[in-house]
This record gives sequence, C-alpha cells and structure tokens, in this order.
Amino acid sequence: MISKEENKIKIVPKIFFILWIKEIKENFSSSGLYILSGLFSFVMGGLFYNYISLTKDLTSGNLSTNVLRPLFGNMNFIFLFIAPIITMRSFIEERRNGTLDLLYLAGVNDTQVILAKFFSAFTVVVFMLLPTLLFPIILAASGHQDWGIVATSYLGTLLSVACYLSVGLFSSSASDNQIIAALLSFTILIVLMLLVVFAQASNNYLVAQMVSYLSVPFHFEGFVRGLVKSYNIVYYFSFVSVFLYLSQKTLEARKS
Amino acid sequence: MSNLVQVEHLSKYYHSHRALSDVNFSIEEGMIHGLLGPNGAGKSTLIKIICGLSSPGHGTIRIEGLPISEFQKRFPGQIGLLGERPPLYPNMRVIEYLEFVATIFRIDSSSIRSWIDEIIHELGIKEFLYQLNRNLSKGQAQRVGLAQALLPNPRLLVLDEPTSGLDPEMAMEFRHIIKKIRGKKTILFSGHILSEVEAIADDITILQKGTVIESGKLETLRHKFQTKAILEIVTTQLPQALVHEIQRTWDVEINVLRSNPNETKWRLKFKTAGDYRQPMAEFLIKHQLVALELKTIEPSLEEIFAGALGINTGKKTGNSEGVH
Repeated sequence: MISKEENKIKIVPKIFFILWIKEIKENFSSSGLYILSGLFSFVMGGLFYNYISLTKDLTSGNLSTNVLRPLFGNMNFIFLFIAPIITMRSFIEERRNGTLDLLYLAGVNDTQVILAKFFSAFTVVVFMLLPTLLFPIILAASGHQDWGIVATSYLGTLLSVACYLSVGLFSSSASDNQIIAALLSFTILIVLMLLVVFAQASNNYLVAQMVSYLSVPFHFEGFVRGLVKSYNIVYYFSFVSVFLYLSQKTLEARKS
Repeated sequence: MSNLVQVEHLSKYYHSHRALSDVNFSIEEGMIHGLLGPNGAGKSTLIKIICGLSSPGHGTIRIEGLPISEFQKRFPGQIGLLGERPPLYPNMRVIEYLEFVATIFRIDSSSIRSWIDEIIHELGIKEFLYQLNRNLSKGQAQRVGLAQALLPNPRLLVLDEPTSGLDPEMAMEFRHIIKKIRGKKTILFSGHILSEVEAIADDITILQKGTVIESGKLETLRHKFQTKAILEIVTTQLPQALVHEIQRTWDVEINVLRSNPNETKWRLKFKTAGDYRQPMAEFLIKHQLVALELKTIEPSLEEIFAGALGINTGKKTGNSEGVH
C-alpha cells in the first residue's frame, strides 16, 4: 500500500504563503468576520455622517481637521477592541484541534506560523477598511482633495493596527482560553494607550517624552496631520517585531 | 531486525514533577509496538518527545541512529501522528485538508494527486471526501486523521489511543486498517484497551509512574508472567473417579467450563509453570479417555499488565465451576 518510491520529497520554499492562504481561507469562512465587518462599517458610517453634519458647510470648513482627524482617531480606538477579537483564536484553536502539532511535524517552524497568522489578520483588517474608502471619495466629491492626509491617515491606522494584532497574537500564544487571550491583549493595549496620559501627568520633560514615545497614539498623531517621521515608522516596526518575537518565544517555551 | 527507535535513559521533569524517569526501550523496524500504562503513567509525554513535539529533559532518543532533532531536520515529516482527536481544520473539506497536508509535508506536486487517491481508496474516505471536516462523524474523522498521518509516508507512525471514543464497530474497522499496514510501517500504538493492543502489537512496553516496568516481545512477556501452567482439555466425558485421580497425581485445581452429553470442556490449573501436555495426554490414553482438544492457555495481556503492575485482578478465567 505505502511505497517509499511514491513519496518524492521536494522542498517547497513558499510554505509561509501556503499557511497565509490557509489562514485567510479560515478567516473568511467564518460568519463572525462578516458580522464584525458589518458592525464596524455601520459604526464608522455613523461617525462619518455625524462629523459631516457637524461641519455645516462642506466647502468652506477644514475637513481634515473636522472630519478626517476625529474619524481616524475613533477608527484607531475601535480597532483597539477589534484586534483582540480577530487574533484571540489564532493559537488557541490550533492547539485545541491539534493542528499546531501537525504543522510542527511537517517541519514548519514557529516564525512561519506566526508570520502567516499576523499577515492573515492584517489582511482581515484591510478587508474591513475597504468600505471606509467611500468616505474620502465622498469628501473628494465635495471638493476636499487632500489625498496626502488621507493616505498618511490610512498608513497610520494600518501601522497602529499591526501593533494591536501583534499584541493579540502574543496573548493568544500565551493563553489557553480565547476570552482570557482577548482580555490580556486588551489590557496590554489599554496600558500602552494610557502611557500618554501618564506622561502628561509627569513634571519631568525627559521622562514624559520617553513614556510618550512608548505609546501608540503618540506616534499615530503625526499621521493624521499628514506628517510621517522616520522614528514613527521605526517605532511601529520595532513594536510589532518585539511582540511577534515574544509570541515565538512563548510558543517555544510551551513545547519544552 | 534493526531498531528504528532507541530510547535511552530518558527522563523528563515538569518543575518538580517527574513525568518520566530513566526510560529505556527500543522499537524494532516494521513492528507494532504497544505502549501501555495507567492514566498519568507518562505515555503522552513519551509520545510527544518521540515525535519531537516536546524536548527530552535528559537522555537520548535516536531514530535510525540519529538524535531526534537531527532526524527531524534531515527528514521532516517522517513521523506520522494520530491522537485520540485527529488534527483537523474544521472549516476545510476533507479533500482540501488532505491536499493542504500533502503540500506542507512537501510531497512532490506531480505525485500529490495519485498519492492522495491511493490513500483515499485504502482508507475508504471517498464517500465523504467533499464534506466539511466539522461535519464528519468520529469514525470518519479518525480515518481522515489516519490519512493525514500516512500521507507523508512516515518511517514511524505513532497512534495515541486512536480508537478512544469510537463505537465497537468503528474501532474494529480501524484495527482492521492498522492490520493492513502491519509490516509496511513501524507503529507505536498507545492504548488502554488491553485486548485491542494484544490483538495488534508484536512488542509491548508497560509504563508506570514514568518508569518502564516491562518491555519486550509479547511472547517473552507471556512466558515471564506464566507462573502457573494452565491446560484446557475437551473430552467426551469426565468421570468423577478420574478427577480424583488427576488431583492425586498433580495436585491441581480442576474447573469444568462447559458440559453437555457429547463433550466436557475442563481446565487444569497447576501449581507451577511447565509444559504438562505430554504427561496429560499419556494419562488420558492410559485411562481410555478420548481427548478432542488439549492446549496450554497462556496469560492474557491483561494478566501480564496486572502482574507487571502488581494488581490483583481477582479475575476468574472462563465461565467455570469448581470440581472437588
């Protein structure tokens, strides 16, 4: 029945892409994703309508200040709740189904699994953001054509959400319960958010600056103003790398 | 035959808890090796370490002479594992899942289709090939699980209580499949149904509290644990006078298992081990009694297991009544 000759082993270098596609299929086969996306679009649409209504005259007001800035600020805040929901199942489901062991037996390493899950979750976020592209299009039709701020706002949102997702993946790798994983990542994110508040309360300028630098909103602020600085980018990439590295170490530790 | 797996002085601690202690045993190539032990004996820990899913604390595991880490680096996917719960992605269809498994196990894309087809045919998966994994029955899921374990054509197939939770018919079917691959694969089979392990295993390792208490060929263990010889005899009749004569000659315990006008089945339990068939046959001939059947009863795996663990099962063998 089983002959060794039949089983010709060939190296497949793109194992990450195979896992990424598998993760995307898993995510998009869940009705929960569509419910979450629908709710997100509904809330964002409501907020957009609200800010537009508050800006009485669409042609004369500063739409970047009155609409885009609060809209993206709120969007960023909403993702603070959504990101843990997207990532909470990641490793817990794999462990429960025994499929993580299947991947290890196939010679897949932790880094490949983590990156596939991270980029899949990121793809879900991009999918959720697609309907919001209507907002700048509507603004453009009303004469607001500052595409630069729109682009940097989206970039800032994506980078911030990447940070949230990395925290979510770390929590999922460290926990055996989805709810605990979501709560853990939410707690970490809230603490990181509140660092700005702590910094403002400090009398020492240097300490305040250092604490602020660790906070995600501190870096996001510049993006909605259309300012992209290299240290912001360095921060986001470092943040994501640290939490993905912690996820890898956690998975490794659980194997020992 | 050479050893495929060699476990030497393996110990594993979880903080202060000792999961495995100086475990030594080997698995011969092409054999089915049964792993037995009560709950918490360390079977699952041992299996995880053999599969490279958990690090060995102290000691070594060699597969084909290579340390496990080296073996997995050089031959990824050469250990197939099926546990009590098959590793299925619930939202994938069976065929999609098998193709995914074949891809991550790096099976040549030109032979994936034919290879999957062969396994599907052998394991009888065809009728639910397009069902979602989450909709499969326990038996179907276990068959798909076995398919994934066999897909990479592993050198070692590890089955950790694979029939647990299956109904008797499905468990029997599953054992039939295992018997079909006997000799073609080296299998490590962990189970708690002793009769099941007895039916398929060639060699046995018994674990207790993380320590190997017995390991070897099933036949060797049978002899080791045969402290009393037992003969089962079918004769046309069993006169009471003869019973007394046998008891006087050998000091044995005699039980009648079945009796009808045509034949009587009885069992002799001697005080010591040994082969009593020849003297008993001669004794029956001398007393002009026709023996329709005369055989030695070897201890069952249950008796070996109980003997190794020092458990008194209090089990009476067969449906018998004493004769005095």
